[in-house]
Amino acid sequence: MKGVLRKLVGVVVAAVGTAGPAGALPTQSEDFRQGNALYEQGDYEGAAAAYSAVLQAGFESAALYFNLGNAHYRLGRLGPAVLNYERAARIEPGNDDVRANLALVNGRLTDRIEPLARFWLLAALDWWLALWPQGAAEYAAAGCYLLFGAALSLSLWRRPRGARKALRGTAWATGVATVALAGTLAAKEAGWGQPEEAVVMAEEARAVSAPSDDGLTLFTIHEGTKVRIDRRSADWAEIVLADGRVGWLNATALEAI
Amino acid sequence: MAQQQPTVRAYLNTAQVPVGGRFALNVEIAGAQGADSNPVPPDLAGIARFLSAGTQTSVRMSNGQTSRSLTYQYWYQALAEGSFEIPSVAVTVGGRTLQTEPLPLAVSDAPAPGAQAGAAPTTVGPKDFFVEARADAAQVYENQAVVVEYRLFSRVDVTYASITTQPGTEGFWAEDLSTGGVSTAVRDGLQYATQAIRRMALFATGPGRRTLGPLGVDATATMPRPRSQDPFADLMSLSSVFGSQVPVSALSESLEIEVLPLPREGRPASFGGHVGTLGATASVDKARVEADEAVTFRLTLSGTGNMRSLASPNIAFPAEFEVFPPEVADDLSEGAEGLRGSRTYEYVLVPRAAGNLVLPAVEVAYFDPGRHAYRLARTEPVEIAVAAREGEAPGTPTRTSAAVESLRDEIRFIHTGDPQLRRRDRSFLAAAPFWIVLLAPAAAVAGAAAARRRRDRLEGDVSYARTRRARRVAKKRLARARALAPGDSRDFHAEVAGALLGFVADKLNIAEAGFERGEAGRVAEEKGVRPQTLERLFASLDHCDRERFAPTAEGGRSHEELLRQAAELMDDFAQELES
Repeated sequence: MKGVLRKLVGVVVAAVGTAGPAGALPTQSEDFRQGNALYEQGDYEGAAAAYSAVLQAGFESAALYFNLGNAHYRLGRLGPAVLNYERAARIEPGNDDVRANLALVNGRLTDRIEPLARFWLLAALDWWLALWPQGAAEYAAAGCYLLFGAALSLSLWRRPRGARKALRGTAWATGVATVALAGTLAAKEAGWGQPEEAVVMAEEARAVSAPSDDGLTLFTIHEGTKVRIDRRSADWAEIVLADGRVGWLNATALEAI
Repeated sequence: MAQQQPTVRAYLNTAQVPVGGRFALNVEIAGAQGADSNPVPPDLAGIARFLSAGTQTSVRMSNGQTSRSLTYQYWYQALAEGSFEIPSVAVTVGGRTLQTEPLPLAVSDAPAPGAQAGAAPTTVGPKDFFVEARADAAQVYENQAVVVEYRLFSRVDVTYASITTQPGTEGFWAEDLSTGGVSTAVRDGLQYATQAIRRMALFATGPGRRTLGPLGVDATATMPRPRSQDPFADLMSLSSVFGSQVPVSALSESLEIEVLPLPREGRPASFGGHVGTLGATASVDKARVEADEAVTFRLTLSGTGNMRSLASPNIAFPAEFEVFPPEVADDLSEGAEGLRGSRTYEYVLVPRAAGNLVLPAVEVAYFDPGRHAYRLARTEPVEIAVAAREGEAPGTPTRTSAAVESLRDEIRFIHTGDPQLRRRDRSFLAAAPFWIVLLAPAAAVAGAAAARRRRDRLEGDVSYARTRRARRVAKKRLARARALAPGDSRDFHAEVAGALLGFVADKLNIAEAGFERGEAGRVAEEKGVRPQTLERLFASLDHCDRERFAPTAEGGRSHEELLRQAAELMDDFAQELES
């Protein structure tokens, strides 16, 4: 019995040691710090390059996208700035700085679109997802699940006396919390309630009525405007503006968030 | 009305004038309402000087036909002797340009007639009706007052004088002054009625040469008719009584004013552009106040010059005061030098701290054109004793809070902490910790269940199973006893006793066969059952035994009562055993 437990603990420690969430990234963290230093010196081009190198290495984080967005904004590139802020918001929707900068840049764009009211259920989901900073939901879910396992194990193992009732209650509460948090994580991971979105990167883009060059122009949108992509057809994308207008845009003018 | 072809005719009021005499060139337009634009009077440079222009409309009716004519009258003064030709005048009427005939004019060097003093003129000449422009200085500094006066002189009865041309005052700040009434004046031995028709104080806004354009006046003069030879003609004519109405006009000369720049050297920092003279006084309405009580600080600047555009003084109020924007009041009057008067600034001050506070001396610099130098007007410092409000230590600032003002919008600074980087292409599902966290509790639960099972087996399945089964078996036997109740009392009591005995044996895990009370009581007491419960149990068993082997006729308790007691007993026993 004791031997089994010891083995189990050994396996857990070994696994955490070899594959932690940070995954040992001295180079990328160094690149990130390098980018920050360049940014502070005013070399925004260099900072953007350093941040992009981290991205290219296959890593991401809300802070990284946020800083890259700032560098693009300083260079006057509103489209990439919006794109990176939106990507940061995807990871950490509740981040105050990201929201502030996004609002500021949106105020400087050519297009001003009055958004439609969102369906209340989706708005509630947004609110719930935005409540959890990056990593917090993961840790909370893991904690609840571990507590649930511990309570259940103890109540099973102990003699049918004394604290059994309290243990059962704990197991129930943590079990429900685990299910809720796991659902949240799954929603984040799978992108439920988060449609495919993109940012216009071209200075000006024509939205046409059909996915071909012969389509009639319905409206033009400009750099930095966020659109929802409903479907794709070859190199065309059917976009929906925040105010509900629909048109087809050449996908080369867009960059998915 | 018959459509007439417009015609244009030019004529002189006289063909012969003396040198210095005046003559009028008339351009008459008949058959039209007027010219498309005013005709340009011919330039008679070297012959005569242009004096004034006027127009006259006449409507004539004869045989039901109305003919209308408009006459432009240009007055000149002959300058040189000789015979001249007045060139033709071009008039555009109804889209067509018509030319008048050139006219001959003879100028003799005989003196002008009718120049006797006192004698009323019979015709209106340039000496009878003119406008004189006068400035009190030809050279001024920027923003220094120059008084310009346009004065009408007339030797004829004038009605309806109106100004037709105003002098432009571009480059000046103009302040109109009152013109005064009619007076008499003597000029070159002639007596005139005279009145200022416009007076202005002008303040130049910048240096350079400035020209004030002429001022033009139109009026109607009433001319006494010269006595005719025929007295009857005089009697018949109304004009001998009222005189004839003649339109007259006059144009003043232009004025040249040179504006000097203000000197740069010696210009004080507090100079706000005022030129003239200035004095300053300062006062407060209360010298002793409590903190947060308003005080009125009054600054009065009085002097001459452009008081109305006086710049607000810069007063360095102590920080202990909350200062509200001043109320400005002007008290201006006209003087010989233009404007004079005072301007009062009333500041409401609220001291926010106690103590002896001093309002500093106010300094206003101005330029004195008389001395050609900058000078300072100074007030004395004003002291205000501010007492602390009740319950407050002196010197406690009681500044009110104000909203923080945003100066600009800017993006927030980059994040410099731990970036919390994670692999982009791999979700947490692929991370080892996820699986460890997922599997560890499952393994723990499985392990706990297994351990529990193993322990149960070691401790003996029998006792555990019996304990758990005891109540169920006992209930079954009690139910069977109830079914027997109406019949054989002996069987009923045997069944109840069996149920009780079996229950206790199962609960205590001892053999039911050969149940020994002393042994059972000891084991039960060890496991926490109270002695009273045991006594009740044994009493119930005794009762059952009695009823089985020596039943009392209708004695003892009823069957239902016994069943209830047995059930109660089992409950109590089980509860005490578990706690």
